[in-house]
Order: sequence, then C-alpha cells, then structure tokens
Amino acid sequence: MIDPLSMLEIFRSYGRESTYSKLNPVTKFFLFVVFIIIPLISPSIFIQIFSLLMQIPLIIMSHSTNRITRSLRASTFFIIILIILNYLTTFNIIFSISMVLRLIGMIIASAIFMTGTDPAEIGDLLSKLRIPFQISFSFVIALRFIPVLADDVMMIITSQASRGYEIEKGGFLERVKRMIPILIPMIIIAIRRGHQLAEALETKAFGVSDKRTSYMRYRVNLLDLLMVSYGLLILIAGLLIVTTHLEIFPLLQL
Amino acid sequence: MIEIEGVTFTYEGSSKPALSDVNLRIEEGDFLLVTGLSGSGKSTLLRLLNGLIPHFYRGKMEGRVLVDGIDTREASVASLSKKVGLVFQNPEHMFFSESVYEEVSFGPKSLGMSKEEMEGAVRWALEQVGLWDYRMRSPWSLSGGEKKRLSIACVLAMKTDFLAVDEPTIGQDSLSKESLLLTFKRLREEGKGVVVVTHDLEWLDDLHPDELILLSRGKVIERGPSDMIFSSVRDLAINGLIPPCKYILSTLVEVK
Ligand SMILES: Nc1ncnc2c1ncn2[C@@H]1O[C@H](COP(=O)(O)OP(=O)(O)OP(=O)(O)O)[C@@H](O)[C@H]1O
Ligand SMILES: [Mg+2]
Repeated sequence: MIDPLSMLEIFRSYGRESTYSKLNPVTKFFLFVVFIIIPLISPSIFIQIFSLLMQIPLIIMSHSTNRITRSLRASTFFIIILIILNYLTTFNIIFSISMVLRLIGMIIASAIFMTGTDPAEIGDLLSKLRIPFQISFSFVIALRFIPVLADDVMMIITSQASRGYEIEKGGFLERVKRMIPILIPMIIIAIRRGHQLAEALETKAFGVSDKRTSYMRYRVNLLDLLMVSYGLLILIAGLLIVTTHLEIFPLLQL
Repeated sequence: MIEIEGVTFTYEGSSKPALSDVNLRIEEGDFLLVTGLSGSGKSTLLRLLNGLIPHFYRGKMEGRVLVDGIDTREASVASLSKKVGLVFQNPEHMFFSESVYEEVSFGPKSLGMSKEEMEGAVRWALEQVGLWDYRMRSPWSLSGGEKKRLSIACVLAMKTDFLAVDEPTIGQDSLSKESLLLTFKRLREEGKGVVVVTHDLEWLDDLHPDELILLSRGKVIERGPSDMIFSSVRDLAINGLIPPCKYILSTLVEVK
C-alpha cells in the first residue's frame, strides 16, 4: 500500500510545457500559497469544496490530471488513515470528510505547482525571497535529484526481483527486513552521486565568484496579472465565506 | 521457449511506443543478438523476457509474452527468474553484500538451491568471468569492467535456461571480451538460450549468432543470420551502426 516509488513521484517535476508552466514563478508560487492557505482557514466542508472547485481552472491550465491521480493514489494510505482517525476521535463523519478534502486539496495544489514549475525556477524564486544562494541551490539540487533517485530505486528493485528475490513477502517485520537488498545499494549510490556532484561542481568552479550571473529573465504578462487577481479574489471570497457564515477555527487545526 | 507475440509497449507518460509489434521466438540453444541505436528499445525488449514489463514498469502493453507456455502476466518476476536470467546495463544497482562470493550466492539462495548446488554454481560462475580470486573482496571495490562481469556471474550462478545480457562488453578489455565470448559460446553449446544486447558488432561477429535483430525506434527492422545483415553495410550505416571491418572491406571491394 505504501509504494515508495509513487511517493517520490509527488516531488518529481516534469517541465512539461503548458499555459501554467509559462507563468511567472512568483505567480505560480502565489497561487500555490493561496490554495494551501484556503483549506487551512477553516475546517468547514464548504471551504474545502470551494477550494477544490476553484482549483479546476489551474488543473486544466497545467495539464496535470495524470499527475494528480498518481499523487492521490500514492496517498491513499494516508487518506484512509486520516478518515479513520478523525472519525474515531470526533465521531463526526462530515468533519472527517472535510479533513480528507482538505488534504486532497493541498495535494492537488502541490501537484499542480510541482508539475508546472522547473526546479531552477524554484531556485530563482528562493533567491528573490533573499534566501542565500548556497541554501536555495542545495534545495534545487535535492529536487533535481529526486527523479534520478526514483529511477535508481526502480532499477534496484527490478535488479533484485530478477535475481528471484521477493520483496513483498511475509508479515510487516519480514517485509522491513526484506528491504535491505534495496536500501543498501540505494544509500551507496546516493552517497556516490553526492561525491560525483561535488567533484563536478568543483571542476566547474562552483563558489569561486560571489557574484553569479543569472540568465533567466522572467516577465510579467497579462495572464500573470489575471491569475494573481484570481488568487486574490479567491482569498477574499474564502475569507468572506468564513466570516459571514461560519466561525473561524484555529488556523492550523487538522 | 520464450515467445513474444505482437508486443507493443508504451511507457507511462511517453507518447511513442518503446516497442511496436515485436514478434520473436527464442528456444533453448538459440543465440540471439540484439543491436540498434541508443533509445531504440533494446533494454525494453529484455524487460519483457522475465516479466519486469508489465509487472514493474507502468505503461500500456499489447500482445503477450510466453515463457515455456506461461503468460508472463500470470507469473511473478521472481518465479520467472528461475527460467530467465537478466543482467542489467548498470551493474551497481544490484550490489549490497560484503563480499563478491556472498553477492553471487544471493540469486541461488533466493531460488532455494541446496547448499552443495549453490557452492558449485557460485564457484563455476565466478570462474567463468575470471573473478574467483576476488571472491573475498567487496563488490564496490572492483573496477567498472569487473563489476560488470560480477553482475554477469550473479545471474550465471542462477543456472537459468535463458540468459539475457544488456551490454556485456562495456568497460571490458579485449581479454575479458574474449573470455565472455567463450562463456556465451559454452552456454549455447550446453543448450541454453542466450540473448545479448550490444553495440559491439565486431565482437559478436565472432560468435556467429543464429539471428541478429536490428531495432530502430522500437521496431524490428532487420533480422536474420548475422553475416547476412552485416553484409548489407548500407542498411546498417543508414541506421547509424558500423558493421565489422571485414564486411566494410568486402563491400568496398565489390563496389570497385
Ligand atoms: N522507465 C522508462 N520510462 C519512460 N520511458 C522510458 C523508460 N525506459 C526507457 N524509456 C524510453 O523508451 C525508449 C527505449 O529505451 P531503451 O532503454 O529500451 O533503449 P536502449 O535501446 O536500451 O538504449 P541504450 O542503448 O541507450 O541503452 C527510449 O525512448 C527511452 O527514452
Ligand atoms: Mg539499454
């Protein structure tokens, strides 16, 4: 049920071209933040449904339906646990459903953002937020290496399966033990990649000059203005729904 | 016998099929060579043989693959690996043991061989690839070419009826290539089915494979005895492959 490969998928960026991917990274980040905040302002089921519906245009613009279904499939386990735990603690089925919708909404928002945003854009975004380059660079590299790691994991799992190894056998403890022939190559390969990367960066004079040249230029288009207004509108609408119809719950209540 | 019947496979997220309408029959004692440019679908073809496709790789598969009459969809990869051994392109993905010896014994252990049988198989496999003297070393301390040969030994020790090897000659010096050649020849004489994917046509010409398969963009565009295909130097050149030297020379002589 917990499939490590599909979980890594959530962080994978594809760089596929879409109307959404061509937006300014700041716009995309703003929309992402809006759709993370809206579900959190209130556990009300109306807010959750509202937030889901308002994401539909973004889903269409980013061609991310495939990705979203995969992310959701990967999170089924957590979604089910969440429903059960919520129900057992509150005995309120509406509330439990609302919590699940909140999680789904946030997964969708992340999936859209990750599908349509290149790691390099995220790096530039972080620099714009005045985060030191060393840190933003490490973050971008980590994102960049997730798909590589996912490919490695796939090759390792298939290599061992081809040697007659059954990974999914036995009870829980047995299964954990059975991960060893997968984990060891994974760790060694990851460490080696790290060393190789460091060497490659050194040979390319990483960190020699304090001033880095940036070749990416981002423009603010009409569509960006439109989308930012859309985000603002939704934020206001969300707040209105909450203040006029419902009481505000503590912000981060889950 | 492995039968590939009208297989078309498209990886999830990809628009073009990696293999299209491939038909192939591999019997015990056959020797099959698969070649083609990078990205032509060679590794994908190997993934069909022991069920990695469709069990592990997501995508759309048409047609079917039968191993000794069993549809690969109906059997697990672990059970198919008793019959079909697969050596991957990159050897590093499989190593996790402390010693070369332990590493090679992993496959036989998974298949449930007896202790004596396993010891014999491991020794034989390591001798085949010239690594018996390295048995106490760590797999990670070996050179690139040695790692590749170790990965071949890991699968050889499983004593499968079929052996499929992806790019065995990468990183090998001419001596190791020669000994790999001998190993494959011997396997074939023992009645095993051998499938080898390679770019190294010069090397494989010495093996006289029964059938050479030329893949291009997922399609089998040429198949037949190797000397027949190698002789059509022009076709090979069009597909970006350089046939062994002697065929080029004889073509040049003919043209003159
Ligand atoms: N896991 C995968 N997911 C998606 N597409 C893939 C995957 N593996 C391979 N492909 C694609 O399928 C096609 C065939 O790939 P394959 O690895 O079979 O080629 P190959 O002939 O083995 O190449 P090489 O000589 O470089 O090893 C390529 O276009 C490749 O990009
Ligand atoms: Mg390949």
